[in-house]
Amino acid sequence: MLSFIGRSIVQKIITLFFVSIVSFLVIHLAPGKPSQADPLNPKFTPEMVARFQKEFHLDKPLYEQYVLFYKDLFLGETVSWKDHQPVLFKIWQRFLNSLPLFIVGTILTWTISFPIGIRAALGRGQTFDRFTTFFSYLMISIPGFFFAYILIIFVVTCFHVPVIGIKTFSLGAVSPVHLFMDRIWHLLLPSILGATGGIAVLSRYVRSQMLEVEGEDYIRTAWAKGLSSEEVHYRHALRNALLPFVTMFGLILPGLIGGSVIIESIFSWPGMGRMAYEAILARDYPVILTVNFLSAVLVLAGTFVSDILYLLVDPRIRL
Amino acid sequence: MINLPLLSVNDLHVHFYQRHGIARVVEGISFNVKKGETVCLVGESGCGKTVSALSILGLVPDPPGEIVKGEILFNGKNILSCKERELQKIRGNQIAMVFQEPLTSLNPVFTIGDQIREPIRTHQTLSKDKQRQKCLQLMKDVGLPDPEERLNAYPHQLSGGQRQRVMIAMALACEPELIIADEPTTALDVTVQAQILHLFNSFQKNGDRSILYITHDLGVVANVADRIYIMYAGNIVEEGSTWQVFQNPRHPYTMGLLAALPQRGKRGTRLISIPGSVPNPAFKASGCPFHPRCNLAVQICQEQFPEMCNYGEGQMSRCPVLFERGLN
Amino acid sequence: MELTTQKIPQADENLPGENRLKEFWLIFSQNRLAIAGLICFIIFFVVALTGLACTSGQDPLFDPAQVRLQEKLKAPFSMSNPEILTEKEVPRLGLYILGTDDLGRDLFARMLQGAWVSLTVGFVAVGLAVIIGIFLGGIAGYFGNRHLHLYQFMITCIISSGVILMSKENLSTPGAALFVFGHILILLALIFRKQLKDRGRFLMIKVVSIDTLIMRLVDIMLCFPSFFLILTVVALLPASIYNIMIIIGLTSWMGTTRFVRAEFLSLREQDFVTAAKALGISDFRIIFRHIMPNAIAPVLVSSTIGIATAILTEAGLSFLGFGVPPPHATWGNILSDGKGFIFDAPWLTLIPGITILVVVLSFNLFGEGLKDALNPKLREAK
Repeated sequence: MLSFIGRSIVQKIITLFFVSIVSFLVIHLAPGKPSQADPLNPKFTPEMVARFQKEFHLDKPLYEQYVLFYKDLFLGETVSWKDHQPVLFKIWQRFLNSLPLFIVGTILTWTISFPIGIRAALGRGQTFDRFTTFFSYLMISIPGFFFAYILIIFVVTCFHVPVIGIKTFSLGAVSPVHLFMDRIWHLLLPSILGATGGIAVLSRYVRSQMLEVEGEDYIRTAWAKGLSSEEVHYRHALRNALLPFVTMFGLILPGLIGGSVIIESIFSWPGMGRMAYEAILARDYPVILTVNFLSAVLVLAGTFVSDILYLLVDPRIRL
Repeated sequence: MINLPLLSVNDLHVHFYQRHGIARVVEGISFNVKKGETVCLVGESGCGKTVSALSILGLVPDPPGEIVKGEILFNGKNILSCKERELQKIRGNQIAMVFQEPLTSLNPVFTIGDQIREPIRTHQTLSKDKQRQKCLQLMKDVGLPDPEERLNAYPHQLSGGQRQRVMIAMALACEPELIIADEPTTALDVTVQAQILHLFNSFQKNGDRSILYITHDLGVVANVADRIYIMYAGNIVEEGSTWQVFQNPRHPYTMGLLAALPQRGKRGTRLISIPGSVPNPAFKASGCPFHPRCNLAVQICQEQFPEMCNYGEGQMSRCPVLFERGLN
Repeated sequence: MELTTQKIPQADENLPGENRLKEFWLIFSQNRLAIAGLICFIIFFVVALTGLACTSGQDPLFDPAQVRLQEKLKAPFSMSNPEILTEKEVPRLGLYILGTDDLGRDLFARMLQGAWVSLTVGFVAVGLAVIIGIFLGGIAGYFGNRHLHLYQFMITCIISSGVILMSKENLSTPGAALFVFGHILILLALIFRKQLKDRGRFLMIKVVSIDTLIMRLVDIMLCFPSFFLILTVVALLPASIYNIMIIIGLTSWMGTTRFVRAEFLSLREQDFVTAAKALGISDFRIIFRHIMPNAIAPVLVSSTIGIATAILTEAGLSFLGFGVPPPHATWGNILSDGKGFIFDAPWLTLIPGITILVVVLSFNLFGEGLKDALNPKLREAK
């Protein structure tokens, strides 16, 4: 078991190394010298290219650039071009903003998807199943921001309450309870929006897993032993059907940075996704590259957690 | 006192609904199993014997399949009309089943001990300790080595033969009156096969229990059966005691099956086989289902579905042609 | 009593190939939603083609680029006002079927043009992803346990560093030299293959298996959240429709690779492959003639869904301002342009939004129907 973990870690570190190289090489998509800047490309003025050169040490040999780039990153010295704040600090701040959105969204997704998926699978072809299937398809197919706008318009015109931002703008001096409630209210719509897509996909997957397991031979054996329906479905079938999801749990981690660029843009939520988007708009490359690298790190950490969880849960691997 | 059969299947019809039509997998079969008897349901793959067995326990998968007609009497009660809850009390308890594929019939995430204990836990009231004792005893009875260790083992750690023994242990756990064994040894080596048959035998003697064997292996049949029912394309085509059927087969199919057995001492001659293949249950020929492959077929075989002909002393066959010949 | 000879009924008398297609269609056609999806897909395709025909060229049937500021933000089915329009500004049918946008452009014409662009983006992006995926997945699956030897690895390093150096201006000469040197080494290795095997034990050390190599590549690509990666790259490169298509394609091949690899891995172990090898059939033929037809199924399914995703991604990029640049109209463009006028002219968002929804939905349904029909295990029983 330990060898499995050890091997996993080593593999992840090697992958991380290569990821860092790829992240680093992304800069080189940009033109190399100020003179090379295409006059028709508004993204790269000669001044900007010169700045590139300086900040990313592009005049030095390749491997030295690489080392310097990451040294800056890890030491927190990489500085945003837009507002000259240290990048890591900025990321941390925005991360704290994104966190509640992320947590609520994840909780909603995971707690709602499973009952829906299981119920749909057990009552295959019946009304509930058809209904949820229809909705899932709808949610998967609708362009995210389109749905968001429709929802916002609906809520605003029906309930006449503000939905944009992390809290109401001109609240003034009110009691902490009121403040708290206000925060919660602002949190609700974006979380729900973020969760719907996830619920649609996850519940379908739960349903298909459950259906597949229900058709297995050992479920037939369980019936033949005279076990009650509850025991067969929720003890025998579910336990096997849930196996792949335990591993998926580890993969939630990368969602921390992903945020959702779109949702945060619509709701003017000052989170990480939006920061990344603004950085791209402002061509704030230190921020962009750092975020890219960090998200890769999170993905690897997430897969590592998945591996460990899988180890704990599936007896076939353990021994 | 009339010896009421333990199990009595009467005119069972099972249909499977598929995209290209209805497959009449079981079309009106009737058979009995008496107390203490070993009955064999014999036939090639695709003749409907497994589905018949599954019907007894109500395990026919309901969306594609449906029991459209017939009754199954167990101890006099029609279990086809039982509700799910009542069926659950019978399954594993009074009627138990052993399946064909040991490799996939055990749940991979639970230990052997857990799985053997389940029927005991469900149907009997014993303390946890007693349950454990009983599991160990069962495992010893079926011949599993190191039962103490195996109790906490997982299915993937056992070989095919060992897993099949576990299945049998699970079936024997509540001392059922009837065990249905669906080709229990097909997936196993011949030596293991012998041991498992021996197991069943001793189990039966110990409690005057009945066994319904589903098999296509005539060697096994000759060894264990008291009565035989030969099935073809969803119908019973011959029935009788082992002696009767093997000595005096009364149906062309049975004759074909027996002739196809490679016999010792006849080396160098061609193996005999029945020409053609088993029909697709969705597209069966009219009249006698066997007539396209039968070398004794006559005009009427194509037109009329043959009735059972009684030869007396419990032997019956569904071939009027042979019956008439016999009478003359 | 006469003996009659009966014809022995055979199993299905069609050829196996024919039979499979027929059986597939039989199952697929039972799924009404999937058929609806297919019909929508065909309609979409036809509309896109006619749209291309109708809106391109010098004097198109429906002009998507004609700006008429005096007639902006008109509702659908509103008549045009001939008095304030010049000759060529008058819409073809005299009315604006779907209204006009904020620059007075005919929305119907723009939607028609956008259909073709969205279709192209979807197909090219997915086509690229599928080609890469099949290629890499097939190699990983079939040749997976063959290893790269040390000398091969070294040569690859030499050549690739040569290529990288060549792209940097000041280092291009040494780069070119390495490049050529690497190729010479390949030649030498081929000529002295036998000696290499006998004497060059050190150089024959297995470095890494091909399977591991390709899968690590997949892992690396999967480390980057795709939308974000696309955004980053699109931001760095000049905005153009081709860049977007290529980028979406280059970031979505990982799924296909995994599917194809999995299929190849399992099919490779099957007896028919062993039989083919025993008959002396070349690897190439085995892959293309025998294994590929079986492996195609998951690829088809993920392609249809991939096209839907590509269309949604393009819409998302447009929303954020990184989509296909004007004057090309894509549905994503139209949708995001309209968001500023939600209350004044809701049709500018509703029409493209609902259209995208319907098209993507139909692709998804079609894809799911394909998946069910091609996978015997999950078939819905009646």
